[in-house]
Amino acid sequence: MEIVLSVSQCVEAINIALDSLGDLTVEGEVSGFNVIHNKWVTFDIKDDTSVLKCFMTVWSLRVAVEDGMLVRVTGKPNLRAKGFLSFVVQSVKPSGEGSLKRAFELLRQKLAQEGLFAPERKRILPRFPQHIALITSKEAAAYADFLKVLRVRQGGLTISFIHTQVQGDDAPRQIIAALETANTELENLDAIILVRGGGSLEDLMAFNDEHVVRAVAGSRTPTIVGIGHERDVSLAELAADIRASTPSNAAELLVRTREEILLDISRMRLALTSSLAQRIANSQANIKTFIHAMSNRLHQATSNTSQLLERIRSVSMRIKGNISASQQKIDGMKRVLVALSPERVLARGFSITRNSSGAVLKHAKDATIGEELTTTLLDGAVSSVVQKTGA
Amino acid sequence: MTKSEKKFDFTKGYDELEEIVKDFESRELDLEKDLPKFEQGLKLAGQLQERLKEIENTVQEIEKTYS
Repeated sequence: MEIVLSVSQCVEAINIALDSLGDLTVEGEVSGFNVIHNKWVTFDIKDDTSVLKCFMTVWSLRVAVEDGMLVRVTGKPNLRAKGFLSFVVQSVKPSGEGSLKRAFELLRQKLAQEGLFAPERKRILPRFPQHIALITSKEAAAYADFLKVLRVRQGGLTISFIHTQVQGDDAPRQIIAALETANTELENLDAIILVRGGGSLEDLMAFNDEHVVRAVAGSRTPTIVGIGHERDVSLAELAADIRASTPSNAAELLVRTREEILLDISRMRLALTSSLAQRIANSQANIKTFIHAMSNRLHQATSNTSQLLERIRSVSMRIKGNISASQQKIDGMKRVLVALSPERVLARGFSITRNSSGAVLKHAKDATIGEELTTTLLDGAVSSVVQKTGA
Repeated sequence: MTKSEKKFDFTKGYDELEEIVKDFESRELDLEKDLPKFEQGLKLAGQLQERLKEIENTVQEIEKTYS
């Protein structure tokens, strides 16, 4: 019996058959590349004789594509309800050195235009990183190289290591997830180091993946990206805060050597002690100046004092002289006085005669006849009566 | 590494030492007042030097399966 299908059933049956093909990778040249509403991407890939209509989401498109580019698309063919076959693309990879370079250049231009590589976006790493995240493959030489150089330069650091693939289809997703883990789960993180060894442009595709580049640019923690002996710079390096030329160079750019830092500390130590020594030297100089000034003042004062003493001495000498001269005068006067004292006069044989009223008789005419006179002699007095007067 | 060394914040210590040196070089010191600061500077220098003697880095693997 003939089986009759509806059109829908037929399309469905064909799609089931197509599904059984599994994922197909097809290489061809791009034409009619178009982005719709920044959500969907449509283009054709073709060779000399055939064309395949491709459809994909913008999200799945991780590289820049343009018409004429040779690409490898991976996906599944699907018969649309509208009757045409569409190749639903999961991933696109530029094929061949020329396309890779072109895709790289297109993406570089696009991201540069967005300002992702702008110098002003670059952050300065902490001067002394203590906790860093290292993202690379454990098997890679880059891992050992980085740690070796880091250890030579400095110890005591904490390295949170996150193992990821650094090439292959799954590398971009793992690297993005690792960046996310470092940024959200690690505390007090000073820097994120993303490194891998050198390789061909194809090997480095993960580092030119648009989402990886954006994740590096968007990292909250400053980043260093370094790829071993690269011929061409990768976009992830351009988006990093610091681009290292090799994994070892990443360690060199991350930390200074302990010798350099020790030298700086010694310099600061010296500066400290010199400042203080200078200050002490200044004080000593000040003290010397002070002592000198004081001794001058003291000397001045002493000399003033001795002048004063000298003056006091001379004054006192003068006073002494005066006193002794006066004493001599007094003595002379004393001698005169003594010589002139009535007793001494009486002793020499003179006497004093007073009348009856007690007045001293100096003249003969002052005496009256019959008047009683008292005559004082050296050792007593005698009374007499005036019998006769006359001068 | 002892616990106290672990606690020492290298960056903070270095910044503080730099600050003290800058300050000391910019003005006349007061011997009495600035002596504690001087001692603090020497102490920091000592701690920083001690910290730099450490040879090994600690690598801790963050176990994540991204595949």
